[in-house]
Amino acid sequence: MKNTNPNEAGVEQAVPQKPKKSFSFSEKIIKRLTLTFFAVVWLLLAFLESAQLFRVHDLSLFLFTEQFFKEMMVAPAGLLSYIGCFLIQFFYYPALGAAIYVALLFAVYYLVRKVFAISARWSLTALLPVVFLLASNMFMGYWIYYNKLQGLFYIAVVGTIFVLLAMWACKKLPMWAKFIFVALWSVVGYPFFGIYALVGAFLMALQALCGKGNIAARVALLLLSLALAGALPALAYGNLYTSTSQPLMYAAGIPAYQFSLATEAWYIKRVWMLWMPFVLLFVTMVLFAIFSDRVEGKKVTDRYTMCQAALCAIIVLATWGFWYSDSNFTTELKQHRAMWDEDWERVAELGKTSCAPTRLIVMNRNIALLHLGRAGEEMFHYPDGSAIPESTMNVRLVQTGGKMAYYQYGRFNFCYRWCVEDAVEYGWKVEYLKHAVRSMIASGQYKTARRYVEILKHTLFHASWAEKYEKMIYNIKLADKAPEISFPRLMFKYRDTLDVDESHVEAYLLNQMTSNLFVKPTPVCAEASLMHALIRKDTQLFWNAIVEYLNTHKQLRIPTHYQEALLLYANIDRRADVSKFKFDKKIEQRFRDFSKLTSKYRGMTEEQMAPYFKDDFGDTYWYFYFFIRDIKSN
Amino acid sequence: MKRTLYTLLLIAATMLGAPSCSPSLPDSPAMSKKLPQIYPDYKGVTIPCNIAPLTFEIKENEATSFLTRFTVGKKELLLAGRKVTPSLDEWRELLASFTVAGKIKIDTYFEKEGKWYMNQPFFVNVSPDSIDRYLSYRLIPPSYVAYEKLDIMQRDLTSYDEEVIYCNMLLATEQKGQCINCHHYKNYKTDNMQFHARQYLGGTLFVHNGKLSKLDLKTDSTISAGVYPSFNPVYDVVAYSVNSTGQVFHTVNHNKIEVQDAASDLILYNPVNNTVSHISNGPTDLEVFPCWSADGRTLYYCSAHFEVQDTANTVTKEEILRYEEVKYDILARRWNPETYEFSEPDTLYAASRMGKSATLPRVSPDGRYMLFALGEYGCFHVWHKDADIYMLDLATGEARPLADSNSDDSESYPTWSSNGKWVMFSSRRDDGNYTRVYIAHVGANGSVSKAFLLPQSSPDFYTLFEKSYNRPEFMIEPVQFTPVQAAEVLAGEAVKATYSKNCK
Repeated sequence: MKNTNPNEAGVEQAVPQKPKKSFSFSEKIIKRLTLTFFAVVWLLLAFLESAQLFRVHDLSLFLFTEQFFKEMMVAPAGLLSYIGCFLIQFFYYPALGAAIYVALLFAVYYLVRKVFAISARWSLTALLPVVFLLASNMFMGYWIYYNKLQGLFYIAVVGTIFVLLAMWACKKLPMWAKFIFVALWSVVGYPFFGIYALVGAFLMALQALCGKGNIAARVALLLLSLALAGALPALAYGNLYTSTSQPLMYAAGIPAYQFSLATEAWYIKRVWMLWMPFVLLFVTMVLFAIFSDRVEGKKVTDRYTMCQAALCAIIVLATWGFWYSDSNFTTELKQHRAMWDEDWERVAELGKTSCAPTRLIVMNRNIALLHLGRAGEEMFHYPDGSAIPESTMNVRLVQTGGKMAYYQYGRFNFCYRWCVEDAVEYGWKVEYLKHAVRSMIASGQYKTARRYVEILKHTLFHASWAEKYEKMIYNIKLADKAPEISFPRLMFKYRDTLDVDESHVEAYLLNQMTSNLFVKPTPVCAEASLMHALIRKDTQLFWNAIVEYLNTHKQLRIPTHYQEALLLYANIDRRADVSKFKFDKKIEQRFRDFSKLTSKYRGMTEEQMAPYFKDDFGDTYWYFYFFIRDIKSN
Repeated sequence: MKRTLYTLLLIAATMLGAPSCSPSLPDSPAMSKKLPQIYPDYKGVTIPCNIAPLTFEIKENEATSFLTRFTVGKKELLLAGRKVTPSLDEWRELLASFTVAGKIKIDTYFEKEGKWYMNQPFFVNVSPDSIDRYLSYRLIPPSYVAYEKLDIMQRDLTSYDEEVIYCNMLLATEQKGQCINCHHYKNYKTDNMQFHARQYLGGTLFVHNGKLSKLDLKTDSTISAGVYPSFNPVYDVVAYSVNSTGQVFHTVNHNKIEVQDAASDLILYNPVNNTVSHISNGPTDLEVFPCWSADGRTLYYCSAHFEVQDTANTVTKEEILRYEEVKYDILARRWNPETYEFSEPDTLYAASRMGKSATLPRVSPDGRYMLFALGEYGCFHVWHKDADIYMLDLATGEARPLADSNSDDSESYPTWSSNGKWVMFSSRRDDGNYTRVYIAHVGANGSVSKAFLLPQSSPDFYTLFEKSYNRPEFMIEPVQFTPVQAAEVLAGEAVKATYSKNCK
């Protein structure tokens, strides 16, 4: 835009005109946009993703012990893991954790600008690494359950900060000193920062190569960085580190699943998108290193404006595009947290939010209704089904919520078993330790419970939780008074058997809860058994379960769904006599209406009939029995 | 936040070089009638004169300050703090005077609400019998099916130094896991030793007269590759069990797991001609855990007779249903080193007749005694809380439990030191789930003292350590190869053993 002063131009100013405003990416605007970006990211993390952040913290562990530090350092990039685990624990308070995370992202932005001398006019470009770092975390979704790299959420961010700090220091050095610095940084940095040290050395050399000075020296520096990147992991393999395979020595600090050298096409296909943020981060940094100090010019041209607009679009689209969003995933996370808080009303309520729920949502909701004593009235009021979790991988219930389900149904040995199995594969987490404590107390294995209590006492935010349960170990009466222990114990009334679940949690529970293994079942036991019999839609299992239920529930009125089931199964199994049961007139009438409607649409497939029944009978067991089919659970 | 603050203060204090002052005993403390509560419990144990320092923590919850005094004759060592961690030099100086058996007197003091108390003293007996310098074990989480990182380690018992013999992650990839197990040595030396790798790049890493190779001991005539090994101490053969093993899980029982063999036999391996032959393969007998006598002419092993009652069932299914009926006896077969032939078996210890199950026999280096684990049923006593270690006098046939060393939890995998003066076994007494190494002294008449927990540099090490110590084995020298050398051998092709009726 060309600014002209009317007076200077000698034009008479008759009527004051409003200056024509056009949008331009002034430094002020860019600064505001940048700050808005960080503010929005914080808001999204702190509020929209608070359940996920909390679960990320729950699926991590940091102990204030020397031993924990030593265990982290057994692999290259151990320091990053240690720092990562330390920082992740603050997601216990999602808003605080998000603030720390965003502050570190801002540090990356700031350092990128400093290291690559990016002017205020082009400072939006410095947001690109930030976006890709954010993407590397927010794109994971269900992968959070399958991460083997401790401290993952922060590793890339902290690793990048260390790289940038080193580059900043290196940049100021004379060429001869750069050789020493790059060598030292690589050798000393590799154990602490893994691949980030090697990439950092390469970027330092690349930046020097694209700078000024003796070309031979600059090329030699680049070759040195490449040689060190090739040699150090090979030298460290087996000599310094024995717990990492040789190929993965070159990927220390990057999640193995994201840098798998597997050749299987299915695996590559599933994870390649997860690699993208890391690839893009690297490419961006390389481009910065090549073009640093070269972008000049102060004119606000159309081309500049378009560039800035394009940058804004890329930033927004990349952030949005890489941000995993799935309502079932979020619901599961919220339910899980509410279950730990014993907020069963909320767990049940959340079960209504999805019209195509996953099995975990349905299972959680049924557990909540069992706690609330409303299963017989409500369990078929809610959406049902078996939506497959939105993920590139085969998500198993046992990792997402199976341990909690086993615990709630009094399968304490199996809850504990999966804590240990998953701890072997993914490392001990706060969540596993807490399950281990509760399941061992509930099953009377106090010595084992005590060991996990001792570990939790070394955490920042769970020491008081551990102390609470430690008191129960020494005074079991306290456990009897604690609903989170005493309620599942009501279902711990079955004979011991030798068994395997083949990692199919729901199928195993459906079989076990309807088996005849219960010894003197409590009312809760009998109801849980009946609920599972209803889900299995097995006539004989239903009759067994309803008899046990009626024997343990002497109240006058049989709950609605159980009346519905009695009418249905009596209709299917003509031998059964239900005349002695007192049915609600309304339910009997509805069943007659349901039967009439069935006759009316005879000849149609179940799929064709379902919509005609949905409005009037969608809240009945009959609808579930006939129209909720092909439930798949894993 | 308090913890963070403490950590920062500690770091700051260390950096500023906080002045340290040597502790002094309190004046006229009140005498407590109690012995101190300490972990690990080293009260009244007998230790070898060359063991690493015993470290322990005083469990006096409300006390604020602690002092511990070690006294040996006129020598004294005074240490402050709840965690008592004598340095290696201090410890060696204390133990230097033990050329004959003696005691360390240990007094503990604690301050509570401004007043000092003194517990009753306790004693640690020191034996002039030294212990083998090295110990090896596999570090494994007490998991069920899953495994990830597994290490076979060697520990210097005279210090806390620990080294990796081999870690499976050197070769494992994200999709291809490798399990490692059953490290074993001939005569406590490492020039003839072995361990197995399973699944990815599986095979037996076999060291024969110092030379490493990878073997495939599975033949068409045997049900698996070699599993539980026993090097003949005199002759150049190794006995193995071959097993078809499965796991099932208790839904209520605190034992949690049953590891069962649907089938198992014994084979003999001749490393000179790389041949295996059967020792025992009864169709209704489950033979396992071979162990050679000290003279190398008798093979001891465990065997359970199990027949399927319902022909509609498989062995596996029926074993699951009748798991408490699977009971192992200890049998013996004479072996002729000239012909490589075995005699018919004799029952050495008929545990099943007593309604028990005996496993893991280990004969003392002098051939006089046999240690074994005895439980109610089954072969995998590491998961059986009723399992205890027993000692059988091979001269008299009398068996008795190690009463001072057993606990109310699982004891398993007993073994002898090379001089026969120390026994070592694994135990889950600490927390019911994690196997730890316990060592006890063997007296002149075969009496076994109270066992002590393998010492670590920090007394709370075991509280925080999430791995079990599996198959503790004494060695008199360290392993001669590096982890990378082992990985290179395992990455190569295995030499396939051949089967012969007689492997001579």
